Amino acid sequence: MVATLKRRQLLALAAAAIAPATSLPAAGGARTPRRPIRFGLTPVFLDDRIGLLSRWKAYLSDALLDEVEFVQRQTYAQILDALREGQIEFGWICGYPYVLHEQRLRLICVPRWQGAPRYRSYLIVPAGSEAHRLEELSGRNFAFSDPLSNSGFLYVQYLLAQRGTDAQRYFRRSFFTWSHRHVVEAVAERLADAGAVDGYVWEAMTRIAPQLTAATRVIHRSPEFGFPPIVAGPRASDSTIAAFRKVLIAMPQDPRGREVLAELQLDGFGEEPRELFDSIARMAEAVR
Amino acid sequence: MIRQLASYRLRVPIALTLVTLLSGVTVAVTTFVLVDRHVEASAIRQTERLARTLAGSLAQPVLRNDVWQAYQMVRAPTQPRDGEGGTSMRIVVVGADDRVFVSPEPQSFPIGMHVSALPPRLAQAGSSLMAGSQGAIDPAARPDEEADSWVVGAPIRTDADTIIGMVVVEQQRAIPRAQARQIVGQLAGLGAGAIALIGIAGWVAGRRMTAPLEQLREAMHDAPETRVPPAVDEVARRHDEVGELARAYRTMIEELQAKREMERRMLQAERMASIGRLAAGIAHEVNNPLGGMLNAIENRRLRGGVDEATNRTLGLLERGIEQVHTTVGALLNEARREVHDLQADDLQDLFLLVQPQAEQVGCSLEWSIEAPRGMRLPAVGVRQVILNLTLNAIAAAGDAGSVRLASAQDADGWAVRVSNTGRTLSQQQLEELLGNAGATSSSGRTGLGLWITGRLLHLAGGSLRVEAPGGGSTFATTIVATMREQRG
Repeated sequence: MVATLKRRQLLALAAAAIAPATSLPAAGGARTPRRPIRFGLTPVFLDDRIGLLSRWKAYLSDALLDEVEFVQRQTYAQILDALREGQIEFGWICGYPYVLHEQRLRLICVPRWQGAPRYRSYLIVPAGSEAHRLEELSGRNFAFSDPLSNSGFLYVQYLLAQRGTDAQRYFRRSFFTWSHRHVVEAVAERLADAGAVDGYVWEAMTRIAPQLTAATRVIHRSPEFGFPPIVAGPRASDSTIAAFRKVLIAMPQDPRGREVLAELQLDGFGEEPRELFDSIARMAEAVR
Repeated sequence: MIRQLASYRLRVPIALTLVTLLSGVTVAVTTFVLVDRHVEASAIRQTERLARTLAGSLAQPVLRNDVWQAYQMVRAPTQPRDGEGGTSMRIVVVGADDRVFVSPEPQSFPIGMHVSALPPRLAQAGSSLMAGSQGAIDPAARPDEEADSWVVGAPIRTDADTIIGMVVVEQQRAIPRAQARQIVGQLAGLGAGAIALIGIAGWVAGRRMTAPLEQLREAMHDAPETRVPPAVDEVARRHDEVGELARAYRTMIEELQAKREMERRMLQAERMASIGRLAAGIAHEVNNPLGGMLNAIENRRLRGGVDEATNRTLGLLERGIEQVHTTVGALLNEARREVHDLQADDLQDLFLLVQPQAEQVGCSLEWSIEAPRGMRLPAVGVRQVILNLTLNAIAAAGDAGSVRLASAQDADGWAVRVSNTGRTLSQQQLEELLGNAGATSSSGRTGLGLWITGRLLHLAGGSLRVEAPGGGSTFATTIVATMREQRG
């Protein structure tokens, strides 16, 4: 866990070091190396698998005939800020920040999971816990993933708002783990009495880290929401967007793309209407 | 017991054993205490360092209320390594609200638990410093001799030096007290066994070292003063100090023996001298009248008119007086002038002298002595010896007893066997009588006669011995006087 944290911090540091240099305008007519396409990742999926990331990056770079660089940050907000400020072109973010900043972001495509571009939020408790409903978690400790996560924060906020309360009042103490995987961990180790987690991540973890998911129990599954989408920031050019979308959607047609998809446990990527995220937008409105 | 303890054969082994025990125990205790103290001190320092480090890095997470990051920080040092099993460390981070901010053991110390619900020692470290001033608060190790752990509290400070929480680290002793006691018990058991073995070895070594001394002591203790016992000789063969001691002792005993022998001889010589003086006085007094008697007999012969019977009587008297004269002369230690060889007449005279004695006592006398052939023996001395022995034998046989005299001659010399019934005389008694002039025999008779006999025999080159009573012999005692020819 420490290693993962350090690794991510290192990556973030590396990205931060490169960012100012590469964002400088090319001056003096000198031929500068072409700026790579920067793709920001958030823990909407299990983003700590270096092998998977390198294979995906290699596939994208080859398919785009352009250098692709993955950028990972501590929080969703940092990636979102980078997107909005043009430090990165693309980002795989949650539906919640997408609907919050819809005007500045463009929807590229949405992953398809178990045949549909949808997923659910899970409420989980430790396997030995007696709680079976959200109502039984009052006064307990609760783990959220990220304040900009739909499944890991917004949905629970929405449920509580419907009950006329909020997390501060309802739970004894709540905290963010900044990743879905860590929510599962915090609940499995009983640091938290319950947690909200991305259903896709939890299901993926049943294969990758079954000992963690086995230590938790799902007590509630939300209605289906639009799967965390891949979006483009204002800096991405139309041509780049088109190429990027094309390459992602074409992944199932390529053996290496299929391999990466299998590792991601996704079916593929598809163009989806913006309306897919209406339910999230409604919840965001409700808790505002 | 005290006397036994004073003995070297106990003191040396006991001293060796005690020294072994003492050094063993001292080394063991010193090692244990040093190791224990050193290990504990360094472990406490490490715990303090950990608490301070954690407190420093936890400032940001606590300030930002980032439970997860704080959890990851405190979880790392408490995670069991490589299947070592349980961890020996407990960490609790207490927030400014006196509630648990995070702990790697959320099941035991869940988030939000009030500090008062913590185990007392953790609660004390977690809250007391918080309650204190914000200034000079330093983490302090609180080792508890009885507890199996020590607790270190370190305040979490912001950059503005405001205390926003406490890190409490409880470190288990590497060896819990109970286990330590068990280990000490086992060590003591094993050590006692080992020390007992060493002690036994020490005892044995000590005994071995003192054994020659003890051997010497026993030899000296049991030894007669007259001779050096073989045990001492054995010890004296050693090459060490004890051997030297034994040799010195042997030399001393030998010198003592020589001195004793000299004293004995001096005493005898003195006694002989006094007897000699007495005898010389008596001899002088006796010889004067005897001279007169001999003169009277001579005068009577010169006057003539002596008939045959008177002449024989006079001859008998003359030889008897001569005999007395010569015998007394022997006491004067003078060289005898008148020496004639033993003749059958001399032996016949003897029979005539002792026959009346035997008749008077009522004892039968068997006389079968033949004069020696081809041998020259001093008549006076031999006569006196036989006379004395016979008179003694008659006295010993007493009324209705019998005495027998027989002679035998061989290459060794001429022997006269004097046997008598009655009391038995052993060789030892004979020697006592011969050696101690004036000693009183059990019959009350002084042994001067036998002593004189001994001396005369000695002058005649003879010897005296008691013949063991033979089987079927009716005689109780047989004394054999053997006389040899004196040459030169």
